[in-house]
Amino acid sequence: MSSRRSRITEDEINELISKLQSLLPEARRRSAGRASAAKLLKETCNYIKSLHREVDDLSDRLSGLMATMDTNSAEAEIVRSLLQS
Amino acid sequence: MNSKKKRTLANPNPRNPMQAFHFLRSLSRINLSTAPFHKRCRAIRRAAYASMARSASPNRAWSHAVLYQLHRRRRRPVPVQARCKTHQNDALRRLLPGGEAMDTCRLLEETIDYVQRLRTQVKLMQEIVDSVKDDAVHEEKRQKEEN
Repeated sequence: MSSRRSRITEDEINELISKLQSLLPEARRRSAGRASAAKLLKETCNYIKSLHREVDDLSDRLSGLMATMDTNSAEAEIVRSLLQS
Repeated sequence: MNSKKKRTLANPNPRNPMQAFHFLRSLSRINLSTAPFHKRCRAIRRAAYASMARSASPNRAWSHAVLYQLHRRRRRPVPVQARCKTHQNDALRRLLPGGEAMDTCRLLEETIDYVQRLRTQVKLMQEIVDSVKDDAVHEEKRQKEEN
């Protein structure tokens, strides 16, 4: 394991970089472009930050909704359908 | 016969239901407690990151870092002191849990995995929110019809 790590090839890094690029949503991918790895990293950071914000926002909304929903039926339904798919 | 069409949820990651399972289980536990709004909100957020970390591969450093931070009651990494020479990786290292001590290759691998889990978590939470809202709308309609 450690011997593989000490010989990191250019190809391996490029493969990871392109995989990372494919994860970014369309809009961000375009602005990242193919040219600059630095830009790609910057876009990745922005994307991660926006995902963190979304988690925060959805936690807020879920918290509000949970206060009002009929717990037993809604949850049972959610659990059932999520685990079936 | 009241035929209400309930919207069925789509599991954002069918190959790994564990993330959904962990999160839903945490949600039902949170629901049973009668904490005030802001505490519940924080608990949900912690549950989100915990379920991401618990369902990740055990060889992922970020998942251990997340669980450790949650245990210490810190959600985000402690900001690293600004260095004299900033490398392009630095910002990413600060964002990725456990990212400080990794080489570039590992950092990229971990980032890819972390982003995938984060996206799944966001989709999962969005699905739940939409489903609960739909439930509420259906319930309202049903009650109106009955009256």
